[in-house]
Amino acid sequence: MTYSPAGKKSTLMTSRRQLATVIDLNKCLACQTCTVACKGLWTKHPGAEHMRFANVTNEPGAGYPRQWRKLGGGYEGAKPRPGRCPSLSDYGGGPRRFNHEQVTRQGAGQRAHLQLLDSDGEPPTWGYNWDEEVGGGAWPNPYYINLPRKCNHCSKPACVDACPKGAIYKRESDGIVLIDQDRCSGHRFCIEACPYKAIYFNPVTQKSEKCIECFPRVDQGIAPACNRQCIGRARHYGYLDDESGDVYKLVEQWRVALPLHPEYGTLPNVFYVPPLSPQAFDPDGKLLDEMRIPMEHLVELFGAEVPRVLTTLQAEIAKQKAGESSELIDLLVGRVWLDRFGGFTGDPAHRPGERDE
Amino acid sequence: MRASRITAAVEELGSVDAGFWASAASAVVPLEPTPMALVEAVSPRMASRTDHGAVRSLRFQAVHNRSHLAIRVGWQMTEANTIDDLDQFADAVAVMFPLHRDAVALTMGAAGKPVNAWYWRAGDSAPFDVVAEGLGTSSRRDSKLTALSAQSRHAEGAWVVTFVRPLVVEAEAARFEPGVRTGVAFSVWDGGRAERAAHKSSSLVFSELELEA
Repeated sequence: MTYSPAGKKSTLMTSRRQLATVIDLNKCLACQTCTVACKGLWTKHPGAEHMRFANVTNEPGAGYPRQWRKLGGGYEGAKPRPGRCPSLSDYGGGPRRFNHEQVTRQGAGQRAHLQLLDSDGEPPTWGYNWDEEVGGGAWPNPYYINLPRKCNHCSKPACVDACPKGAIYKRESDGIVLIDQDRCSGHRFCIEACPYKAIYFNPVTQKSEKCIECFPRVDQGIAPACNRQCIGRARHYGYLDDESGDVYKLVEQWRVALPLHPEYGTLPNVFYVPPLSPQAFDPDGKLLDEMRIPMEHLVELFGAEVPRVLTTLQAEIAKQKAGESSELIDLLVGRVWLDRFGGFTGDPAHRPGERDE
Repeated sequence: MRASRITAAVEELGSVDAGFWASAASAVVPLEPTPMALVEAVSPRMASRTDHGAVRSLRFQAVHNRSHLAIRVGWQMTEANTIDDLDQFADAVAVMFPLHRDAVALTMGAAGKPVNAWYWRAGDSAPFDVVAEGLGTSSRRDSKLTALSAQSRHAEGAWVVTFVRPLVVEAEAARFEPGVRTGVAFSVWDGGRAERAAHKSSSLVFSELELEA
């Protein structure tokens, strides 16, 4: 059934097929190209300044919005786990400005230096990626992981479940989760409900907004901007049940792509190939046969399957190094860029009108 | 409850401080927390929280001038709450009328038995006109559709809100006629306690409202 406003919850929460993204964390550079590609397309309008539907932060770290994991949401068994909404400061505050006026026109050039100030005129004390590359671990083995995130278009979307207006739904054809802006009343139960905090409140429209999986592109056979623009070629896209596509092969066949925090219970559809680790050093600088990234941390992020996945990856890399071929490594390397998009290979530059935006 | 007939210009009717309110009859309407069992199917998450409904009464007054109905409601709220940050919620009030003789206030009507409400929220520039046919089905409409207006004042730890609307409008909405009775129900949201949607204090049933002939 297609979406009907305030329709039956079970109908709003299900789809015939499911689009999914696989992100290889061994290849993510944290270059923020996905962040910017999305920002430029979807969150330039008033009230959306704090929104980054696509974002990349470091693990361990506060993340975005700040400490999102401590804000609750998702499920505890079958029951909703309590959650709360982030404040504007948790996103890094409103737009910042340089103190050009003070330095250049108010005669303070010898005393004040040019600096970026928060919307309240004060020097910022926190922001997006404030703790970039701080990471964790102790000398001589510090580490961090780049963690790109966006809406997971979950198969059990807590946001859809929570919306008392029946304004959020999964598209029947592909499982993309959308908020009907005509029906949304800005009650924000969805924001409390989303354990990934991938829904954002727009204080101007007084409604909630989220990643729309670039559906106007998807409808024309074009991969979402975050996936298509990824210069690290870390992302794969397509239907979860398309046996010829990378996503199926990595998630179902090779089982090397795992959901983030599966314990939240929402069955997310962004999957991550967990990162292999550089070797650890001993205090004398000698390489040890140990991972620099603690396995516990990876398991905390992606669940108990991580050791099995890393073993598979290492075995396939070893095969490749020994001169044998590895379908898995070929998939992850992805020599032909467009092969990774599950048939969503259209070029947005050829879409009439888009160049004019 | 009764809406007295008075002589007053439409602009005056909407004023929270108009002199006629001092002599207009008033009623104290008891409010209760909306029972969450009702919304289990609409939002299990909303239903799982039950710390709502702190406001337990509302003062009601109404007058009309043969062309417009004015309703004035007031309730205790120590601090005014508006949406000043992304995690904040606003105080609000709604006055609801049946559009069908069998419409039930507790469920905001039902399929084929709609209700109409006037919804004011602190910080908004205009009220909304709302129609609903059951919980979770409410639809906010531009107040211009029914020429609905509202004014408000927060002082001395209490809100006072007035609504004014023509007795009869073209849109599908409540119609009022001097000498005729209709139902009226109320809801109040405490933004400071993150109340919104069915997290509210409500009169649960329609009371009778008669417009003086």
